[in-house]
Amino acid sequence: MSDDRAIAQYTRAEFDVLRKRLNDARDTLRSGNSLLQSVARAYYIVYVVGSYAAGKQGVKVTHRRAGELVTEQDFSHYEFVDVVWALYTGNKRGNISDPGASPGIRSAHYEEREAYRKASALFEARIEADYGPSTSAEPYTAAEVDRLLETAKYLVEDVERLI
Amino acid sequence: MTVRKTKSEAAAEVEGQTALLARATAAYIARLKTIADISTLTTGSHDFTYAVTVPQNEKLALLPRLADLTMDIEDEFGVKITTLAVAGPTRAR
Repeated sequence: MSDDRAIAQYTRAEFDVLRKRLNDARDTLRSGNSLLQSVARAYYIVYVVGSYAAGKQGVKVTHRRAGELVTEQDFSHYEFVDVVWALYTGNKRGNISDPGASPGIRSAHYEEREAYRKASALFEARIEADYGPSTSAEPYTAAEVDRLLETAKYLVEDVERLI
Repeated sequence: MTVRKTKSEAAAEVEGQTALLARATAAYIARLKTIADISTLTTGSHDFTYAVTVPQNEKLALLPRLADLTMDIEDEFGVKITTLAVAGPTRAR
């Protein structure tokens, strides 16, 4: 059975299962020293939690499909940083056409601009992990990777306040 | 929700967007030169996407500056930009 629902439309149970699967994968990869791939899983956790929170808050993006503008909650990975921004600020950015009802995220690990920077770094790490190119299988040290994993953890803790 | 446009409205929108993107691109490139070697710059397939190669050992440090550049141009011009940093050869510091 095909299911093309966006993560924003998942039930809480579906969201919890997906998140657990990604958490387990992140930890397994990290403990096996697959460092950059563990960061990629951590990115996906933030993407999933952010997409689900954005769904709850009514955040919407506008896409052009076959010459028509379509407003929806199917957030692309290229829109991930904009979704994070919308959740932290309650404001539009990029393709976000409706920031929804987010009251913003205050007194959090990150302020809004720092959250955007951190989200961008995670997205870049995921691209590098999955596509490269790189002359080294593990281009970052364990300490650098652990800082990225901590970044993902903090973003999740901030964003899940809105769920 | 779907919004349909007439051909004349669509043409005017495209013309306006093109002019805006030209101005945004010029500003973006000028500022990117202060952060990275733009001789490696390539355009992507997703809207207004650029990939620039940076030294592998400097990449993590440069990402916040590239994110700030992206935010600044988006705020000034109201366009959606994606900047990707591709890891290149390391550079001695």
